[in-house]
Order: sequence, then structure tokens, then C-alpha cells
Amino acid sequence: MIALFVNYKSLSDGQLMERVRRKDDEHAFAEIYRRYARLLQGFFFRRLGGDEEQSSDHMQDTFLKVWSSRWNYSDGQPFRTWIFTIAYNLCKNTYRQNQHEQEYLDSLPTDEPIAEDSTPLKLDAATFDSALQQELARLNEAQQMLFELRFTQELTVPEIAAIIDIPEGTVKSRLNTLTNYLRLKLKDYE
Amino acid sequence: MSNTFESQLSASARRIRKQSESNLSVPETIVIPHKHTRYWGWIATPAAAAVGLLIGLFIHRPAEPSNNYTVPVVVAADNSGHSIVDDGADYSLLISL
Repeated sequence: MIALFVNYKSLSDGQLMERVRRKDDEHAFAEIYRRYARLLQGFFFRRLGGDEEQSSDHMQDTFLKVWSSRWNYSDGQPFRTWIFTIAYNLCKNTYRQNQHEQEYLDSLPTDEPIAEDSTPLKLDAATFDSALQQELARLNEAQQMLFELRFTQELTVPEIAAIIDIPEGTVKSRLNTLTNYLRLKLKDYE
Repeated sequence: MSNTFESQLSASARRIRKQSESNLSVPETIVIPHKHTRYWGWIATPAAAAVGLLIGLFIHRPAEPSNNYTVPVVVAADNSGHSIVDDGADYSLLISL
């Protein structure tokens, strides 16, 4: 009935969440799911070593958590930061529980040179993407997460600081270190 | 992002993201569990208590007067448990109690 009068697609994330919280509005929740399901499943897919089944489970767990914690959401709170905080904490718990991260890193080939040839490589998007993925795989969990949030999800520094729960200055500093490291590693591809 | 390299990283991350997400099979919908719990709890709990009370009252209701007469019987028996009035019954168990 509610859906007949409200154009959910035109509502912002915050407005949808407000309806979910105040009225248990399933249609609003479905719209949020439609907007974020693939994004979050992709986030888990990359962060949990490419396990599609696990990433799907985590994505659904995130939404169930959104539903069950809907009364904790306060009006005006940035929804993207809120949902990514839930997803980030789920990821962190998974790392703790099964040490998936370590297993993933152990399974990767080590000491694989990116470019033994000293000849500068021709800049090509696919080549750069491939090299970047290899370098990202060598980073530790915290650095990978930082890259994911900043460059893949394109979140701002304040948003990342809120999600990881560290000061903005620390986020900036870690981002600088990370970017400089990647610049050094990928200099042949720039 | 003003920095060229950072822009390059962003563009690459976007491509990687699109590629990985396009191959994912994402469930169309999600089932919300216990959606009505918030409201039904207020109704179901008192209702369950009332039903329990009624069942309890029904089970432990006062007994109605019976049409069957209860005839007191005095059994006289000796120490061995044999009825003095030899009616053929063995009252040894009664005596032991």
C-alpha cells in the first residue's frame, strides 16, 4: 500500500533508512538492498579472497544487521558510512575467526617480479590493473582495507576515519604511505 | 583527486571493482526475519498467558459432586495379614504399610 504513494527510487539513502527505522518500511529496505547489495558483495568478495559464497553470506548478514539495528540509525547520519562500518566490522570478525587473510596471503605466489625487464612498459589500463592487483595482494589486511575504502569505494577521509574508528590525521598519513608505496612499485606503469 | 597517480589508482580500482562485481551472482531480494515480532510480541505474550491460565483452571477445577457412593470398609486382619473375616483377599501389603 505504501509503495503506491511513494517513489522510493527518488528518495535518498538517509530518507529510505528513516522510513525503515520509523515505519518498518519493507519497500524502503528493498530499495536500499537494490542499491547496495552488489556493491557490498563485491566489497566482501575482494576482501575475503574471492570466495563468492562467503561474500554473498556476508552481504546478506550485513543487511540483516542493518534491519535488526535500524533503531540505532539516527536521522541525518551518513548512511554509506553506517553500512560500511557494519561491513567493515563483519570483515574484521571474519579475519579474526578463521585467519582467512593469512591463508589467502599464503596461497599467493611469492617473489613474483612484476617487471624484470628494465624497459619501461607501455601504459595500458589492463596492464596497470593487473600490476595493481598483484601489488595489492602483497599488502597487509589493514592496507588493503584502506585502499578498498579510499580508491575502490571512493569514500572520503572523514568517512574512512568514522568507519575504521581512527583519527582523520592517521587515515591521511596511512593513505600517504600507501600511495607512495604503490607509486614506487608501479612507477613503470605510470 | 588532484594527484595524477591517485586518479590513476582510482580509475584502476573502479575498473577492477566493476569487473569483479559484474561476475557476481547477487540474490534479487533478502528475506527479513521476524518482521512482525515487534508488534506481535505484545499480543502473543498476554494471549499465551491467558490461554495457560484457562488450561490451568480447567485441569484443576473443583470436583463436581459424584453420584457414586464411597463405602468405608474396615478391614480387620491379624499380624500375618490374613483377613479375620475370610473374604479370600490378601491384606498383607496393607498391613506392611
